[in-house]
Amino acid sequence: MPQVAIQAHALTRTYRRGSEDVRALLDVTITIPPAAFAIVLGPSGSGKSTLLNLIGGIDRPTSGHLTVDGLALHDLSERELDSYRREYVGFLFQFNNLLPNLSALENVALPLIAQGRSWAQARLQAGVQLADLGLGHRVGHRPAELSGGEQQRVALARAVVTRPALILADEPTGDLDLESAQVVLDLMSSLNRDLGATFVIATHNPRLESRATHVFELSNGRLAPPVPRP
Amino acid sequence: MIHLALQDLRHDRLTFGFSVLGLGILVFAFLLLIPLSLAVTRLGEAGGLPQNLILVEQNVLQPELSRVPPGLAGSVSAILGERLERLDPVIFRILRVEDHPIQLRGVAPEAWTTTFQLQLVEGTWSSAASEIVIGQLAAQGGGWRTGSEINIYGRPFRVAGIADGPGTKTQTIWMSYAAARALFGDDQGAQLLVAHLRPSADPLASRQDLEDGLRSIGAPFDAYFEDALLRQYGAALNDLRLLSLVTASIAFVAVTLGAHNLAWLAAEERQRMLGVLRAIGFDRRDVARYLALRAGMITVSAYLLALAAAVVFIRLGLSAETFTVGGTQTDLSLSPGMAVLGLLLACAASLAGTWLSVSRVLTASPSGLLGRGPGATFA
Repeated sequence: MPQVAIQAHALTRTYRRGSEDVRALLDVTITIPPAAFAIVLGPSGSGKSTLLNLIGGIDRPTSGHLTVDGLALHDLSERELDSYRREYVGFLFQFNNLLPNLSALENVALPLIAQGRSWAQARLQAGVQLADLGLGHRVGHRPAELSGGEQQRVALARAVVTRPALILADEPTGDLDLESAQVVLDLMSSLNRDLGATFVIATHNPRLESRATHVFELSNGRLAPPVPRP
Repeated sequence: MIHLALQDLRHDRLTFGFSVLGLGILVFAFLLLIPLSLAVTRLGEAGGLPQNLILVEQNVLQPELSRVPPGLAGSVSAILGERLERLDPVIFRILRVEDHPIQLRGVAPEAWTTTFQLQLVEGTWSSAASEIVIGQLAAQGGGWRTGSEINIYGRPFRVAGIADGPGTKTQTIWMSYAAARALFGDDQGAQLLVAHLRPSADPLASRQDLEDGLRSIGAPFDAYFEDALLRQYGAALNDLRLLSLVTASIAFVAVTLGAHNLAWLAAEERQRMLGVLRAIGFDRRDVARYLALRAGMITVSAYLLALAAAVVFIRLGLSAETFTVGGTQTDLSLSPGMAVLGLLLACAASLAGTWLSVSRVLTASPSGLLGRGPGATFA
């Protein structure tokens, strides 16, 4: 698995809301080294999710430069961004965003299908991934039949099943009880350690700081200087 | 994507069922209206005998309302002269016989095989005033055979034989002129005068001479070739044909709009799901394929339902695929070609509707689909 570094320079994202421009992210410059376990802290509306959107290639900056593993995301075409997300990025959403009509196994298999694998291959690999995360007995269940913690573990399995170099998580434990949150965080830490994937996690939970190698803090779209971690 | 679309439909059966039913009704209307339009067209295109000139009262659309005065035959004979082989008055009625719409023709039996070129299929020609000959379609429609007794206009008649002839397929009963006259009385007389020309006669010139001659003596009659009369009669049905085609076109547009609405609703309801698919690596073509497959499955299911309903309706609902207007019979059938055309049109309508409705979703960024913006979470 390639280890990716992220470099953002003067990254700005503004949205048009009615006749008004809303600056969600303003002049953000950061560097995240390969295999980092980076936390982006800040209150709601501070620009955390916008930053993750830009790094994940599901949105484009209004201005500035953003490079991931040497790829200048701000210059990529739509098709190249599709390919970038497919090959480099795993997403972990707050409310998991599992597809309700598919089983846990099929949800986890989706990114592999997007990469062009057959359903048979994808199912096999997804089953292994779910078993690795302790969900081998829940593969045939649909999201509605799983607990919140199990759903988030399935979502984590979907995020890592393609072995992406970069995993982006937005409030991954925000909807979980303490125990489930602990399980998910432990899994993310071990995946970061074992797979060498770069994790960027947006949260307003300062307790996550203890696990982070890098912490960034956003406020009103602006960034405080990064705090190196041991 | 097929798997995804199938699972989507499988787990939302109620919506799927209503979608199929809604579209199916429109496709059913479309599948019925096209054969109806073609059947009506065929009514006006039925063939005839070019050597027969039919004289009918001017400005009378339905032949049974025409009346031939006694002196007309002499005038026609004088005008056509040597070109005339036979001239026969015809008592013509459209009436219900034992609940079947029938064209009854009362004409001299000598003209049946000459002027009208009838051929016996079974039985014999009628030899008594109480005997009749029926056409094959009348036999099929009424379930009558040789020897059957039929009550016509309150009197019993025996079927002496079954005959067939060229020209328009109608459910026809043939009886002698004398028998028809005795049945209906003298009040209305004959409705038509049929002039059978010699083979050497020029039909077009004869017709022209006849019309000129009748005009010169002030006789208010038109002369038609038999097929032309039928065409004129069929032309009266053009409005119905046009109406059928317009309604079929409306059904087609309605299928398009229905598919549009279904696809639009599906895309709107699934914006977040589509955003997730885009985020985890599926591109726009994948999303378009998923939506098109979903719409396609609904359309094909609706089409198959409508096709089955249309076939059942035509076979069981309209008495063995026949369609009768004023005693003239034509087929109301759904040919394989029409069925395939219906499928292609339904799919084209569905794809067009889908394309129109989902273009916004396809051009939106993944973050737009996920509802991303300032203050939103990554959820």
